[in-house]
Amino acid sequence: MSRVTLLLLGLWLPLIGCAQSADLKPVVWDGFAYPYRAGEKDICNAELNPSCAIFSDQSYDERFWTKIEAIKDNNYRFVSRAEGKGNSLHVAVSVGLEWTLRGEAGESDLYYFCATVLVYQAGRTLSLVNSRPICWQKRLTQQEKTDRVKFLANFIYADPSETAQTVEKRLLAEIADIITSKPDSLVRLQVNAVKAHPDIYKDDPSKREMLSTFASEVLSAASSEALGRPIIPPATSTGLMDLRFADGARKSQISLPKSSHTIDLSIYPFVKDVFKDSLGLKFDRVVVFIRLNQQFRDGTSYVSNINFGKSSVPRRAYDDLPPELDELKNLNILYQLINETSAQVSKPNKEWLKAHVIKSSPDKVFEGFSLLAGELK
Amino acid sequence: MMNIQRSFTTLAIISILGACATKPVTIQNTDVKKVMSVDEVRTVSVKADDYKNYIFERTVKIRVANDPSSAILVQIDEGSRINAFIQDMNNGWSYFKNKTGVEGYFFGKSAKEVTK
Repeated sequence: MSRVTLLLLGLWLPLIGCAQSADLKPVVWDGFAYPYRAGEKDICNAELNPSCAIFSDQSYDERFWTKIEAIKDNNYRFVSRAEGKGNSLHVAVSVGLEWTLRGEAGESDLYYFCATVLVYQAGRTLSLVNSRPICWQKRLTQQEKTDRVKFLANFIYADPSETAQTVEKRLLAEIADIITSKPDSLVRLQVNAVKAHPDIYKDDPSKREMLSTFASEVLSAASSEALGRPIIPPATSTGLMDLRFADGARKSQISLPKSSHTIDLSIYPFVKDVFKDSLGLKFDRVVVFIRLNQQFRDGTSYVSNINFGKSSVPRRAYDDLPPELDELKNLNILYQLINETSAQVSKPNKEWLKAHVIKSSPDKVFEGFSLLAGELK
Repeated sequence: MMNIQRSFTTLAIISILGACATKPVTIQNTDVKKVMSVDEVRTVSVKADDYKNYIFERTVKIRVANDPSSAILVQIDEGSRINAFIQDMNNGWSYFKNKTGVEGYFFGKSAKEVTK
């Protein structure tokens, strides 16, 4: 066999692979980011965003890049930032919420984590194409409370169990899935104004603000989950999404598409009541109330200012039971109520509405949600 | 001998040109044979009654494992109606098996059961 033939053979095999990957459209992986407000510091606030210690770490950056590069797709391939040119498609993950609610000595802590997978087109500006918000709720065991760094690493990526549902596994699956989604799969639904009543965290406005962010992120994630489709990230006053990347070196401003309709949410003060059963035994329970208002762009509405309520399972007020912190319980019930209410936008459930709608006709609310679900399909 | 070498060289050049012109193939239905892979699909035994009719509301990729870096066995396009066994794995992934032997996992809530 001549040298020329051998040379050609040597070129042949790698080229087959090259030809396949060259035809795949590039998607630039931009990295992990956090919402940014003008005037804030460029570095991560470890108190506000403990996950930044992981996402800003170069070795984790490399680890995630290796995994994202390995995603197999018929039409796309992931490329690094250095390879992004012109009108390329980009993917980033924005961490919208981290909130640790501390329990007392015998209590678990509760950790809430919300992130949004963002797909946007680069051009003269960055324009959102698709977005998928996801929220996690995780209880910390007593052991995990003593080593929060290890807890966070396990929660995000390091849990060695094959069956562990880490944030990393979920995000990689969502990223692989969302690039397949057509731009028209984005439901033009947006969580607009979320307000917590001034009596909630009366002496701590920053915590009240955190509660609003929490409710907004959970409502957005739960609605998207219920619909099984991407939705527009929660509204900002400018219509732009400002991001600061975890490496501290980059910022981006993504313009959001206009919504066809919005959802507003109000959170009423939490209530704790005591009631007696027929034997005269006393029970404690926590009740949360929200008000939901859906509105189309023309101002019309199918679900207009409806109140929903949910109570915790009545708990016998024994003295020898460990105390349960009201804050943890309130937030847990609120989380459940928002999730269950959001599910109605996709599959309205008459029985659920009968049990949770306050001061309105459940049948009429069912009718409204059914019309809304029909529009969103 | 020289003739054989020339023919082989010509064949190699044609192959290179052919490979460069190749486009990725999108398989649009499930009537394909299972692609061999280094990964192993966890086999689930399914009774005949467990197969139901589904409509896929979004395009999904059936993969060898519940991992996006695993090989794609087949792509099911939006709007496809398929008789299959589908089981929610409670981690965002669903196990899929059809009667033609395609067996794997897809991500997302995309399959809706239909009567026919």
